[in-house]
Amino acid sequence: MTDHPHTDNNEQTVESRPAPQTPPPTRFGLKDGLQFFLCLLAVGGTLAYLMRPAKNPAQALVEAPVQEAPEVSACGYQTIFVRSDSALFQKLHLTEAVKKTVEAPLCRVTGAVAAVKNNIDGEWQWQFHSPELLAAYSDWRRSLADVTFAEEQLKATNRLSETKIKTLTGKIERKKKLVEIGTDTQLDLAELEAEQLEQEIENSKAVYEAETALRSAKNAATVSTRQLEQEGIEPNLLDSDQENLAIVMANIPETLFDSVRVGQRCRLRFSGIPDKSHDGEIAAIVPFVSKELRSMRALFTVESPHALLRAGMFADVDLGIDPRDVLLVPTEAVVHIGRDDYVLCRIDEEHWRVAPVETGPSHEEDVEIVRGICDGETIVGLGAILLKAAMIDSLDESVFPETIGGEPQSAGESQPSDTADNSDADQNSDAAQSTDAKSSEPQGEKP
Amino acid sequence: MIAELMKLSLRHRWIVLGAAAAMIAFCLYAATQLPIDAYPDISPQKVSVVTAYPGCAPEEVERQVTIPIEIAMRNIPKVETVRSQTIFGLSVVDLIFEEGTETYWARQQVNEKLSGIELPDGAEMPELGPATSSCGEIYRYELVSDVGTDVMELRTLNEWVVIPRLLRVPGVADVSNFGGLAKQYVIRFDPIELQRFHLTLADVTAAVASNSSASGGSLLNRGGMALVIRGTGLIENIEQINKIFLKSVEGTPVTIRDVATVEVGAATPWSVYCKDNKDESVEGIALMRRGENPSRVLVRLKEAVDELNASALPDGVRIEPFYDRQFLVDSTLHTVAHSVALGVTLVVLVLLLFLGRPSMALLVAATIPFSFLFALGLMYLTDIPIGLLSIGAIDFGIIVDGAVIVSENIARQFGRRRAKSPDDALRIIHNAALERCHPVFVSVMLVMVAFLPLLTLTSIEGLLFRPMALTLLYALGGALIFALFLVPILAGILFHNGYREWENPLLRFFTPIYEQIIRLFLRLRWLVACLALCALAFVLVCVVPKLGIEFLPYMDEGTIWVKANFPDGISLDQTAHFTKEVREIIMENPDVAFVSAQIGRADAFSEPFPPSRVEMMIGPKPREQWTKVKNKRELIDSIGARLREEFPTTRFNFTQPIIDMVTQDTNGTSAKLAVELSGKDFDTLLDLARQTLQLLKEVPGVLDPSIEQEGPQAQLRIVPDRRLCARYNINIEDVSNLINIAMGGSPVGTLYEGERNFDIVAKLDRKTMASPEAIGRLPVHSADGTPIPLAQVASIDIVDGQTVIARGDGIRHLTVRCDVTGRDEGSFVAEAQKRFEQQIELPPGYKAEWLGMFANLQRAYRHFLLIIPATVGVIFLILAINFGSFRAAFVLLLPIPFAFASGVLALWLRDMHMNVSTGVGFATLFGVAIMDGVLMIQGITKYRHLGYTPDEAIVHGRVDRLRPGLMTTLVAVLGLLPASLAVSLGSDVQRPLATVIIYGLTGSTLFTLFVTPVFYRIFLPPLRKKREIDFLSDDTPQTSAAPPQG
Repeated sequence: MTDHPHTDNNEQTVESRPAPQTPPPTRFGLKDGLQFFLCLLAVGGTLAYLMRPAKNPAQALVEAPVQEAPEVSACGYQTIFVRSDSALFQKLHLTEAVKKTVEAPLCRVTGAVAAVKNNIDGEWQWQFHSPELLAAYSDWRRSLADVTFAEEQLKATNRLSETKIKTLTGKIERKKKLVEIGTDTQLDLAELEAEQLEQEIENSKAVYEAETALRSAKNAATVSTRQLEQEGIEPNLLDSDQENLAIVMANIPETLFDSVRVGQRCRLRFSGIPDKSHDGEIAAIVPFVSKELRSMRALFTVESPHALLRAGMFADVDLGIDPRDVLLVPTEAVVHIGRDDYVLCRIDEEHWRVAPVETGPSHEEDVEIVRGICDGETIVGLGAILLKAAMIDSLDESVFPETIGGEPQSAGESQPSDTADNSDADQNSDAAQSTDAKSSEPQGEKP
Repeated sequence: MIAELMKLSLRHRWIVLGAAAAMIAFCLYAATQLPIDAYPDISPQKVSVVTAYPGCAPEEVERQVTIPIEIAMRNIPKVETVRSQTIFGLSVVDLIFEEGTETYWARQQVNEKLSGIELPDGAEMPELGPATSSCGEIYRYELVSDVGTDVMELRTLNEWVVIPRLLRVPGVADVSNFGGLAKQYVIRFDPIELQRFHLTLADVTAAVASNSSASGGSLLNRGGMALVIRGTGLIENIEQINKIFLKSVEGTPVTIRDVATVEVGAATPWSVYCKDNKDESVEGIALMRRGENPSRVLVRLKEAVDELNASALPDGVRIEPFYDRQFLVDSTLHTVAHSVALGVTLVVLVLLLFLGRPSMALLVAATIPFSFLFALGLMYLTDIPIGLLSIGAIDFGIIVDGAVIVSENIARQFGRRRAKSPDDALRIIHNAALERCHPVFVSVMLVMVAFLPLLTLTSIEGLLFRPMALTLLYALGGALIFALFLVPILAGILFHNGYREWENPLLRFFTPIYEQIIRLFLRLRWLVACLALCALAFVLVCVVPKLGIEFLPYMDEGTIWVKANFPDGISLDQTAHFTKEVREIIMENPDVAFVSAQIGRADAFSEPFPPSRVEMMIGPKPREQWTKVKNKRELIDSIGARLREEFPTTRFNFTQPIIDMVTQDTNGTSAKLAVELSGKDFDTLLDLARQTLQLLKEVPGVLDPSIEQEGPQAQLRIVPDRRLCARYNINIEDVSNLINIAMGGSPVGTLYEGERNFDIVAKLDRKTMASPEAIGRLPVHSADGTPIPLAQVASIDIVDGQTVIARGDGIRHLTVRCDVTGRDEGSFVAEAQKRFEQQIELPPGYKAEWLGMFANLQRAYRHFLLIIPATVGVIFLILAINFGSFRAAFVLLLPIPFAFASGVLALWLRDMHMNVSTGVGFATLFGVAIMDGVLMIQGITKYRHLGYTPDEAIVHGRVDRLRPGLMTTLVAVLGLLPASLAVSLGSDVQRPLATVIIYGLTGSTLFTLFVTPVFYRIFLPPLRKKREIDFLSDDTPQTSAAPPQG
């Protein structure tokens, strides 16, 4: 290709160009060739080393995980689904709500031995834990003795009066006969009649005084009885003939008044004999509320053989140990959501009812269920907390509206109404729910 | 001016050499002084204010503590964000300062404001968190016993022996304990025993407090001596506690022994630490002070640990570290060293291949150590540590470009004519160097200009890439100095007797073929131009939209950090029980070396975590020992799949320790995406959060969506009834004391065992607190000492209360978070936002903000949208000024879109996303891509000045510059090839950057080789004024065709 003279932009016509010169030849000898080859080999080798398959190749993008069906989800109001072949299900400890007879106390109060009957020098006497109680007891005894004496006096006075009147009446009758026959005068008769009147007046006075004394004695006895009760002892208990008896006094807080009644069994443990417990019962409940402690005093009688107990010993009293049947579930089975507690009860292999429950006292690793589930229902124990999210979802009424009349409930139990006033409609509704609950009760496994 | 300077330096070469030697000496010294960072500290400046308000519900703590503190902090200067978290008994307020705020200045500002705050009685003094950063956890250890030492003793040793020693290590801000049982001396009493002696709880606590004191009575002069009077009355053992006097009953003293049992016990644990197969253990976490160098601090820490293991700990007890930042530093150093070594090797080999002479190749290669040392010297002067990430990203091929151009021309001139004498040789060298000074200067300046906008990056990306940009700028400056001033001088020394040029035989073989191709393309220029543009359009239209966008590449830290949230309200024991199963599952994987788990909140009470929260660190074995998985992603996925299968109702988040804490502090969440809903009413927020959660669950690619703040937690609430309290003559304080002291275990005194001190607490017998009913029976003593059961004066019930109250900038918020898998963050967020706008309506006064890594992505994206065009604009101006023609500048800019398209294609082929690292790569690429074009146009211009026709000038100019062009491209490409292929620890940031540069440069070079001449011919820029300096050498076209005849 040949070029012709041309005119470029901003360029003058070129008339001459440097003459081309042939460059000197480049020598490429053996040494150069070897060097070139080695360089090429080195570069190739380095590139091959770099391009080798990486033992730990760079992070590749991973596929988004396939959205499988959830293993646990809420599937209805108060109902959740847990896939039975899932790993989560294997973690759940299933158990049954069982009715057990427990003797665990309903409540525990503290008390002290108020009085003990001990044999002192061959005589059974009461010993009290405080001088005030002793003084009250003495006063009471004395007042009782005074009453007895006053009663005796009154009787005697009455007898004396009667006897005296009778005697005078006899005399008057004889005198009248004598007057009739003329042996004695009317004056003698009148004297006798006057004496009779005088005697009657004296008798009335004596009887009155005796009655007054009796009344006073009785009042004093009443006061001393009340005093004794104020000191915390029911006087009737002190009249017991039983030997080796101890009376324990405990203060029942106002909040527990409903829980106690006379005759209720109890178990006592004394601080001086911590290894042994004693069974007793509530013998009496003092009708006064202590103004300092605002508590009621309950009195328990317990045997104290060999003078084991001492007045003043402190005691822990477990009240209400009468055997009772309670429904127990493991503590882990109860899940607290909002303001309520819930337990998961089986409906079928993969469906569980979120049952609202009312809990009672705890018993070691278990807790009482007062209301909400039935005996024998299969429930989720350890691991229930793992299902909390689904339980919360199932309680969302905006997602799962409550089925009319169909909400799962325990047999015979209606949901506590939130409103203060129960209208007839509510009551009917509750009754309907109650009825429907019986029909919708889980049919599954029961012992 | 550059030419004048060059001439001056050539005239005074020995002075220049002396100055260079002095500079090298200084830089060597600087290199020894500079600390080494594997990762720069990319955490924001944060000051935490931690206030304990024991016994109060979150709502109360928020109202009485958190909000007053937030208000007080409002007008502190340079504060970007104020965030807070309030839990039961604790308030944590975090202030995030602007980037660059000095640590101690920030803390001082906060301290000043704290002094003026009034907090309620019962609230403890607010404290500042340690002066560390999110990257501050550099060392974790377990206290191990071979002799069966129990966890209480281990914790005591940790608190009183190990931690005090480690705190003395310079650079350590704090060392915290996790796990174990806190030793206490417990006065355990039964209410009955107190009742017996008519004593109250207040009597006991007052007695303990008043029976433990030391006194001093000044001096007693005795003869010539002065005796210091000292009264000792501090409690030092259990026997002394037993003997504390309470009251006298009928002349008989009643002591603690008579009413209580004193024993060594443990405080109620709030946390459990377990590791591998051990269900209970004790951990220590060392935090580095902000601004310190981790390598140096670690050296000193390890010395302290060795000292402790050797002599301070009992036999059989030792400190076993399991996490050490040095591992990351060493691994990164190894990776970077490996990549750099290979890169430099390839560069030298290529130089040798093209230049032929080892002397010339080594002369060019000497640029690398010189520029590197120069950069280190400047880094020392500007207080920038050696960042391994920065070093790893240096393309030594680009560094040597200037020297390549100069020395190639020297070699070529020697190839044209032999030197007749040493002076002649010198003249050839000088002229060859001067001829290339301008294009070298312009080329290197363009690359440096391309880096300048990177210095404007902010936040995490700024902290990560600004040091890199500065390091590269400094290195390029050094390379420029070496190329312009030292190469000619050294060449004059080395080749004063002449130089035998050597031509690559492959190049010699292919040059004529290339020339023919150019001629053909010039003839078919319109077709070639159209095809090129079509190819560009194809890539831009078809490939770019398919490319994902993310903020940062996955920066492997080695270990895996797993956060697990069990259902709300779960007890610590149950969480520990299930965590044991989790550990067993993880340890089933043969590629796992250890797993450590932290359950609950740390003892320092600075983290608001409930018992349902577990944080686990999984340490994989060294990669060469892996047998089951191929990479870390597979390991995470396999563990994650197993855990989610076993615990589907538990939320698991897989992240890494450093990035988790950094993004938590920067964005308030460590999630890839978080939607922060703000508003006044909590129930409304919760409702919105649930709707958002449901929405996110339906977006493909979502992983572990959840509401970040823990849900409500059951509380046993004891509320005194004031009316009943009045009736029974009881003060609310008495109820509070019963709860705080007898139930809560608040200390009532201190026992001193030598240097150690332990709390004395007064607690009720365990059986008296076994249930809410039992608690109701606990006695509260009235003013006259009468015991009244608690249930009689207070209501006791179980309710759900707030677990965590989160606030941001003064308003409550809830955060819905999720991670993304299987797709890029950008597209995921776009889809999620679209659904949100369609499905969710925000009530007035409520707002939603999209945060997380996504927020960083948006910020960085907006920034790059500005700086990339700005960079291109500045380059255009420089080129236009230099070449005196907008058309020339335009032609030179044409390789840029092709470089971009090549880089994008490479990312797509390698399954990589666009992120900040690739953005930095593109910015670098745009400067480098035009270097060859600058050379080429210089050559073409020269031939046009010589009178050649445009076509001939193009051909000759292009062929003349073929060797230097190929050399600069090849060294640049091969210099970064190891970094682009590396997969080991520390390579994650360089890999995308290197990929973009390598492939982009390849594409732009191919364009410059074959298509730029065509566009030059089409646009034919006007000639600028001839410069004498461009004609110093005697140029002859090195083409096969006969030159045109004049």
